[in-house]
Amino acid sequence: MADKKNENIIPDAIHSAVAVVFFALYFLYLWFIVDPKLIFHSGGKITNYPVFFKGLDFFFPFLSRPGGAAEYLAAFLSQGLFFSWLGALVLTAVGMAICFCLRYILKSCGAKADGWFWFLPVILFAVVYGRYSFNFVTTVALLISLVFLCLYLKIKTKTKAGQFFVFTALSIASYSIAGGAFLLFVASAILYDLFFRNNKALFVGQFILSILIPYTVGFYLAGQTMIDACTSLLPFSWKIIIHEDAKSTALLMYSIYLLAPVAVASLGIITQKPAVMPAKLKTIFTTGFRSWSGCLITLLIIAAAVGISFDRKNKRLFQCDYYSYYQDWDKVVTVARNDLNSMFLCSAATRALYHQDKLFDKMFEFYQFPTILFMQTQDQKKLFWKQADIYFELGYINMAEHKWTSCLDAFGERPMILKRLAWINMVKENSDATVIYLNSLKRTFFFNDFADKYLALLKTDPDLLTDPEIQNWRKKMITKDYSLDFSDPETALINLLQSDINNRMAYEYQMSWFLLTRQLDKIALSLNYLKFYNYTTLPQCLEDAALLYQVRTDKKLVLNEPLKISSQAQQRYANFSQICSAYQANETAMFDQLRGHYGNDYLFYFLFNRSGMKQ
Amino acid sequence: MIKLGKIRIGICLIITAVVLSIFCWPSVISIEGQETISETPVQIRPDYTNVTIPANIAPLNFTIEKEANAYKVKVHSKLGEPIELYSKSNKIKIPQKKWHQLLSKNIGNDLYIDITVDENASLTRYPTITNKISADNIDRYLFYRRHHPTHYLYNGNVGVYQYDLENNKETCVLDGYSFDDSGCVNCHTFCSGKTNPMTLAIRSMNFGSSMLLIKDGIAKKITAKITYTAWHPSGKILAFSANDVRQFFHSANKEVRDAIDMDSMMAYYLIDSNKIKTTEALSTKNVLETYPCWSPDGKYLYFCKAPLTWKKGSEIPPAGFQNIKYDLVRISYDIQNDQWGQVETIISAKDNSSSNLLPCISPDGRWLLYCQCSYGCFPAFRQDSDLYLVDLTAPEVDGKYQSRKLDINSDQSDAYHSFSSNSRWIVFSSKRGKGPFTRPYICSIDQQGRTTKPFVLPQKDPEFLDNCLDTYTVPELAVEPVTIKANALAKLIRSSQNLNVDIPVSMASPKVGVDKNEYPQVQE
Repeated sequence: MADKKNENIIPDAIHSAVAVVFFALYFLYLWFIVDPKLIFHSGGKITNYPVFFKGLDFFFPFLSRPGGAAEYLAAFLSQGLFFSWLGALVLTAVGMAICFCLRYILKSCGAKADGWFWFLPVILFAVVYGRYSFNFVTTVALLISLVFLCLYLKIKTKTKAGQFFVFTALSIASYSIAGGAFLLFVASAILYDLFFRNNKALFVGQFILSILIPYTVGFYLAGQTMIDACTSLLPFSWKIIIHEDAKSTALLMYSIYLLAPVAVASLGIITQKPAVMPAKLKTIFTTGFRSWSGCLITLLIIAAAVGISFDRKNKRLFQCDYYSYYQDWDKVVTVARNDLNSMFLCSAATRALYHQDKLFDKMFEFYQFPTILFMQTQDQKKLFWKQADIYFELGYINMAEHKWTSCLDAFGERPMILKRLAWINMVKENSDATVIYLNSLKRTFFFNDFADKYLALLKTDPDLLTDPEIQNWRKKMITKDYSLDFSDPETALINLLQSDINNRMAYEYQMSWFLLTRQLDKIALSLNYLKFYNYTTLPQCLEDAALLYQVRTDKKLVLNEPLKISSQAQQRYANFSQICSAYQANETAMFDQLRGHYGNDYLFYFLFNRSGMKQ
Repeated sequence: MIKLGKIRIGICLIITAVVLSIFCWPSVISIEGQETISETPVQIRPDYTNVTIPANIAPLNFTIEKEANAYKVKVHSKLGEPIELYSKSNKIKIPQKKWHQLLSKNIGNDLYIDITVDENASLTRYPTITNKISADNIDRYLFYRRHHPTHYLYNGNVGVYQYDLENNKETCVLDGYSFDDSGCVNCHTFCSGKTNPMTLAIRSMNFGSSMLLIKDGIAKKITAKITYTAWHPSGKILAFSANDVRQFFHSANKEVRDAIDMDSMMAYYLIDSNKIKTTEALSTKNVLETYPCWSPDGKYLYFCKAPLTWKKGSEIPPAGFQNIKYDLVRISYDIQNDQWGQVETIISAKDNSSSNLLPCISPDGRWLLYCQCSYGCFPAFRQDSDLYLVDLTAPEVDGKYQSRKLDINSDQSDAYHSFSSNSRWIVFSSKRGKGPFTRPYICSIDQQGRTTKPFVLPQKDPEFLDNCLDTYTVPELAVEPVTIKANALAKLIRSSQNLNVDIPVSMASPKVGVDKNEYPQVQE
């Protein structure tokens, strides 16, 4: 019977090989599917991404509070996510370390073989990262606590006094390093002592100590409130759950935190009171499900958990934001095509199309609405990150400064923000403020080249007159000072063109605004400026608009050579009108029919006040 | 037989000792030899040249703006042992103890800094930097708000900090994160340069707007929307303004932000009777009243007022906001009978075509220091804001007070000023040289109202302010620290222990009380 049971258990060598494969898959999943560089970039969403600067002056303040060391370590390690491969490596290493700690704890609690349970943390982490949530500080704090727990389980003393001394020393150390996360160590260690060392006498002392340490170190010495002293770095700390994205995966983080104490308690109960659990379940628990069927079930659970929880929509938002920031317009358009109903993606695609000189050809392939251009919604402040570059590129440098400076508060001193603010101040000729931003940027890992380049340039050319890019932006910058309010984009765009008629983006956005607000008369008035912006032919959207204007006003539009309405456009319009007449009685049928043929055309948008987005 | 474990420990100790010796052994730098005398001075940052410093100030650490192999700095004066420093780095950190010894022995004397640099084995000695050690000490503690140059606060951390000017040590009085993710700590007000009593105003999405009144080590939370406050020297009355201040943004101005009081009024809180009162002169309809400041004898309340020219509910900013210019006025007060006199104009906006704001009176009662800018109520956002001085003891024959622009001003906003308790030092916020990042500057003022070249707040690390992404505002000097702990204040804010104040019905505009909808507001 016993032999039969053992046959089901995977041998050590195979188990280790499977574990290696499993972690390798986890690494590849993070690298290629999650793409950690997107998390580093934060997508204008992750507000709790740790800020890190080189230098001791950044390091020392961390030492002044319990948990500061864990925070510093997390901040340092999280910089690795700048590169996806390195980020995946960091996240895998931390996940693996947590798994191995859990495995050690399970073994210490009498689990006869290390099965699949110990992989549970990385499965949950895979779900967390797949949802583009980042709780790395609390994760590192968890790892530190588990390391201390393993250490505690390893150290065996002969006397109870000795055991209590070890507990005290490790509690103080773990509290100092991991802050409130030390409660995990304390709870698990107490449970272990109760169940496996039979040290009931220590319980009261240990319990008092778990309150006394936060009180003395956190509250009394570090000046924290008692709540903060006890909960800092724990996933339910208010300082962690105030971040919306962290809140979304809070339950998963709670589960990961509870794994160790629950495992210790469960195995303790099984060991002490075998009768409470059916024999079969007990076998599963003590062998950790280490059978081929267990392996299969575990893999299925992983696949299901990862597959179901992976947030593709969120990934697209992060990708689009990342590629927009780094001006990889082809990728922006490609990503946006996968989600034609997202306001942000369509706005980013519109901006990308402008940069690709395809705005008037393809803009209606994406969801369009007047508010799309500048992402105007009720809750503006959440979009500051995403809006800032649009305003900058248009020439509203102050507006961009306002948005990015607000982001500095919301997201912390992230290098992406500092770089933009340095750039804005260079354009505004605020060289002193520029130096402050560049000096900060210089202390980061991956943006220091930019800082070095411009700090050196500022020494020889304080007004940056030799930098052609800066000069171009200065020319574009609006000169008219007025109280900035983008509730009226039309006036804002007119003001830009009055400042600099060469501002092509302002012109194209203005024409887009006229198209989206169906102001045919204004389009007609502005069409001839296309020549000024080196257009030699009328783009399709504008041809459609010109035709609509002629038909609706019965006026002939005089276009400067070589601009003209093509015969194909006239034919297209005639066909469009024919379908409209044919389906006049049935608007739904008309919509479906036109959408199939003209869903990406302005004619469709004009008629239905929305783009058809023909797939 | 020696155990393996002991060998391991021994090896570890030896390695540690070697590593420590390599990294921690003081390297001996010597700069000796023939020196070439340079006629052009070497630049140091911050600019601590030709300044007058208080004898109790912490070391003025600085960076030498010259790349070299090594640096020799000699800080000396007429008496006492000179401080000689040798460094491979251009960051010069002066030992605090020796610095204080040198300064205390040379009160009233000049302080010299000799800089010699070693550039490729050739020594260059630069002209001596001369500063003056004042006979007057400065108050030991400087309080300020520190935060990012906020445009629209959400998740930002705004805190009030105290800075020990004698040892460059900063401690937090209260920061927003200690009670809320969007907590904001704003105006801090002391009574005659002492922190007992004092007030701190806070704003929070979750805990509303309130004022913390700290007296005799006990803090109370008053749930009233109070903006700018001023303590009567008796410590029994707190004059305050309630402002509906709104922020807006400029499309092409160097400073993006601007602010306007859509409405404001003033009132006063009688501490003992726990009552808020106002009078017609402080809360006239269609008049904006703000920035209260008591005269040191408590007989006058100075404040600023301007006509309110728009209707309630107007757009922000309302039309003609550039024409809003404030008069600086005062009103007499009789504390015995709780009676107010007539409003008297000190500086008229009509006369100088400017907005006259933020009155501050020296504790000796002689000087009135205020800001003058082209329009509006928020000089910190006005690039043209400058500091002006009025001698209150020497009004002209026609009864008008004469104001004088101080030469401590810059081409950027200079605002938020205060005096030391001996009236010999001024501290103010300036955006000079740092764009949106405001820094506190200190300068001396003598009995004739003459000021000296201002110097920036010294730091332990002389490069700290070059990297600091925070802005320092509302610097206030005090002779003593705040002793109540930040966590106690945070706990009070989060609690429901409110001190309910008897608010008069007449204070309807703007509403005094908690108004979450108005949050966030202006930060600077």
